[in-house]
Amino acid sequence: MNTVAFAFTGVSIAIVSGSLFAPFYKYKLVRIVLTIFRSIHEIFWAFIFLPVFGLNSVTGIFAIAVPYSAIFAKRFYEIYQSTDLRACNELPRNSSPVLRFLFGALPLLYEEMREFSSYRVECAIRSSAVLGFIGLPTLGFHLESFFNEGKYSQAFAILLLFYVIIGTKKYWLRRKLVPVYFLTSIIFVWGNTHVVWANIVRFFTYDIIPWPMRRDGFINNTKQILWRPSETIDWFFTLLRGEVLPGARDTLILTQITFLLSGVFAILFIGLIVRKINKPLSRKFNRILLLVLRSTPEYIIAYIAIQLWGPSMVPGIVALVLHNSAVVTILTIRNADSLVLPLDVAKGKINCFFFHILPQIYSSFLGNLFYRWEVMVRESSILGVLGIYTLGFYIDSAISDDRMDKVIFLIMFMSIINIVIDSVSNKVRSVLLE
Amino acid sequence: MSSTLSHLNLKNFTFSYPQAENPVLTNINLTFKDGESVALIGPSGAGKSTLLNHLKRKTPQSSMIHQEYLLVPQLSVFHNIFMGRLDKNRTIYNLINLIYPLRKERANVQRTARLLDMDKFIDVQCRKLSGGEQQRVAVSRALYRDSSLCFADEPVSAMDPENGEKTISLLTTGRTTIASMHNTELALKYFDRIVALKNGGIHFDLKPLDVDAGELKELYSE
Repeated sequence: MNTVAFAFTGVSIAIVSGSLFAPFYKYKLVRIVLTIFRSIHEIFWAFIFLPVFGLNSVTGIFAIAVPYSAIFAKRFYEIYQSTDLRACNELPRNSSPVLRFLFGALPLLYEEMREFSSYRVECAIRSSAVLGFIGLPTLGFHLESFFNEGKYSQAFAILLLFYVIIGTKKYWLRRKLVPVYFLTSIIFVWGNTHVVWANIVRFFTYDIIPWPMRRDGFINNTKQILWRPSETIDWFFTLLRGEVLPGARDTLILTQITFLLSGVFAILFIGLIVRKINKPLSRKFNRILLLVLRSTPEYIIAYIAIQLWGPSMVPGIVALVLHNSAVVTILTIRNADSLVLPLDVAKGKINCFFFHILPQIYSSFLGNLFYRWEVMVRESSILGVLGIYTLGFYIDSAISDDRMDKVIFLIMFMSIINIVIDSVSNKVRSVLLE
Repeated sequence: MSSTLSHLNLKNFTFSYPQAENPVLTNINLTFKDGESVALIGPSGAGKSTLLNHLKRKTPQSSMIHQEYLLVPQLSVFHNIFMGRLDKNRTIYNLINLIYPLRKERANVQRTARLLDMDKFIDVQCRKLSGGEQQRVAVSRALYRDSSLCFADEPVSAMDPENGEKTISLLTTGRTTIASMHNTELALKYFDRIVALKNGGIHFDLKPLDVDAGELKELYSE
């Protein structure tokens, strides 16, 4: 219940704030800030909000609402840009901009916005479940508890429950029921909401100030902040050499291995489910398997893999490759299934796949793979929380030591990597999909 | 004397697409002789392509030139022609040639491509070619397949007259060819037999010399 309530409240807030930000997305400053917000994973947002709001519903809701607001703002702006809004010109010239939007633009934009929002509810349920791993009372929390207690059947039941929620979405996520869900979610999470303003003020004015500037005040218990430029620069470079660069290196290694293997596996999966060369029964079976892999958050797959093999890069790679190759396959398969092949196409699945199908879907396949590249960096870094030495590992350690200055610094650095990769992947995709 | 291709015989053949109200072909009776070239002519929608596709499905080893070419636009002319014989080689050999065309195969493909002056484009991606050139690649692929039976659906529709004539001459020599043709002049000049289809039925089935202008006029009249 918490999983769905967090997801629903978070997405509702994000839709409203995303809609408010969307008209300003054309301004560079807004775009940069929202890109930074978008590039930080929900778990890291939860890490930031934990010391501010404590371990309660507000942390969970905001961890979803903040990055999702940026995602909605970007997508709504793109939808607005790509819609033919000439009908607005037919409205009376002196009518107010709000009325012009409500009568002229919204009906045209509504369907695409609704579709995207519904898809994002599913993503938010996944994110919400994962937030359980850092202590919030969602499915991930129960999954971890059952695993730790060795109650594997209960853990499996939790996973099944998760699939049921995602798999039955089209039956329960109905337009008319949305207000009911929203109100129920608000009532549900309301009881567990505590906001202490002093914590918020302390976070922004004290906790995130670099340690050398706080050290003396901390030792004397005066909480005084002193300007110590040379020590702060030393602190900066020590952190850069000791944590940021090794963490970034391992994050990128994990990302690139995942990127390559996801491509290889996606090609294999496409070959196993493409209509032209597979029997209907085996195709359906493989497709269901892929849908399960796509629906399972990579964090949960990685968690299970680490329980089986211990913390190393291998379970991380397995989790990210399985999840991402399933996503790329499902994104590409519609294109592959719509191909028309000649009647004298050679017998033999491998010949047909490599000569007729793969070359024709290759650029859309690469486009989808590059689209996941930025997601892979974000996912690689959060797997650090599970003990793999990526940036998330250092962030998690800093959280344990209550060092929010380090946390913010590491998250900002990670955000820069994400933004660079996102812009490179966007450029590559625009060339590929031309 | 040439033998009959019994597996292609059609007796009172009727064909409808699923959920269509009327059949596309009705009571078709046809036999084909080995080595014969047959042109299917008639107005658009008469059922020529449907008949060709049906005959093609009965003979998997045959070659087929599609009206839409159905090339792989991202691959080179070499690869698209080479594809004609994929089932004659081992899969691993095909995959090697997909990644790096071997000299022997390049020479073989080049020889076929030269027949329609496409050898100079051998390394060019098919999507960079004009419509007529793409059609010549599709014909080259069928020729490279070297099947004794070839089906062709409007094989020269995008070609200039010179290449069109050369293509039809190649297709009607040394194999059984069944082709739908809009160009009746070429059909009468190169094919052994003319089968005219109208409204899903056979309007006439004659040797070219027996086809007169009046019959053609009636065939294409509303």
